[in-house]
Amino acid sequence: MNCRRHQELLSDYLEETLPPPLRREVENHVRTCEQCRNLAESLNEVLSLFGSFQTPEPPSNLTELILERTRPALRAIREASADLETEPSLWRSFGSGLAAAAVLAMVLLFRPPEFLAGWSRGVSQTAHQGYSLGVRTYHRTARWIEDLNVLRMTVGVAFENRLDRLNERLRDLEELRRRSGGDDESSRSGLPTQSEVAGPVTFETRSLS
Amino acid sequence: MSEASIREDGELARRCSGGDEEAWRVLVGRFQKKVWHVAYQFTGRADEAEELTQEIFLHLLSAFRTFDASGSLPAWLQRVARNYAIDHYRKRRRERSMVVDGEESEELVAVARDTTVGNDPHRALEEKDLAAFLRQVIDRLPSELGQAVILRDLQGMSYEEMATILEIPLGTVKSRINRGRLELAKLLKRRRAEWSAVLGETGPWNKKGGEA
Repeated sequence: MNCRRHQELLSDYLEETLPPPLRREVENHVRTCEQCRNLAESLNEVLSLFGSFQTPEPPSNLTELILERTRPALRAIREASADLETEPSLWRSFGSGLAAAAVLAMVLLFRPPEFLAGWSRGVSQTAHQGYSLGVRTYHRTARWIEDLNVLRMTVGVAFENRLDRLNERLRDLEELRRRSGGDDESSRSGLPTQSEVAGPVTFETRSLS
Repeated sequence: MSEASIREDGELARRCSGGDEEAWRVLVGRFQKKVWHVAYQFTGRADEAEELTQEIFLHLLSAFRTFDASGSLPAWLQRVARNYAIDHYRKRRRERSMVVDGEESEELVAVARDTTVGNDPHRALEEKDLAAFLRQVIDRLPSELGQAVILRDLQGMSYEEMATILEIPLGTVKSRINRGRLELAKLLKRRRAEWSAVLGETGPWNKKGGEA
């Protein structure tokens, strides 16, 4: 084995995870090769320095900073949860809408007999029925739109996550390509970067809908 | 971890996911130090760690839906924080893209020379200065090497955990760790040589048999 191959094994050698024959092999090499011995000593020191690496204490106002930063998002979540509790579900709205349509069909198909006798009263009744139906439909439609927005957001979030992963892969590929063949602008994939496509899921998305 | 504490943690997470301010305050108080540690190890700077800690907690709020109440909250939180820190590290590194692969780059060496930690030759190079120096130089390694060294040597992760979290084979994990450490070892050696040149052969490290 040459120096390069021995150096590849130095971490395992120092962490004592090499099988005995390989360990002996590296040991012998390090004993005879000054360059590798120096490197092994420096590597050993790096490991011991990492052992003494200490994270400083966090700033004393860190809790306040975090609470301050997360307050708007927390409020948005609370409001969203409250909305979800009071809003009817998509399927319930859909069911009511269907029932309303059925009532309208019944009114139109099976008009009451007095409708023929008193034309004006019939017209007034129909107009009134039509008006209240319109109002009900308007309200239901508004709720459907609200429910559809929730659905769209859920699907959107899932899709954004997929896009994030895809972009991650593309970037890795790009970096690999750049390393192997220099910085070639023409080899860029042309797809938008992560920041262009979808940053982390934020609560602004919710408030827009 | 006892069943009762899992239940309590599950309830805490459930309340936080619903936006309960009191529960959130408890959770932040309990885990801020843990998250700060992760953030500092990945950034190596107090100001950036402070910012990253806040970002991680913000991210946690939207991540609660992935929490399985039958599992451990501290372990889940550590995992989410670490994954976020890894993504942050990659993004930051892409922004300051400086590619060094295989050979030592002149740029990398220049950075090592200019690093502010312990730049006064007349002050003994203390261990904590050197550790801080190493942490700064990690950021100048190729991203995947720096990341591997942080996860292994600062976060203390096992090779298997790293293979899972980075989605790479075990052999690649080991190779990246070793390459990253070797780069650091070379830089440390070079740094020592420069200091010895300034101070002569009387530097405190020479007593330990380090090379001049």
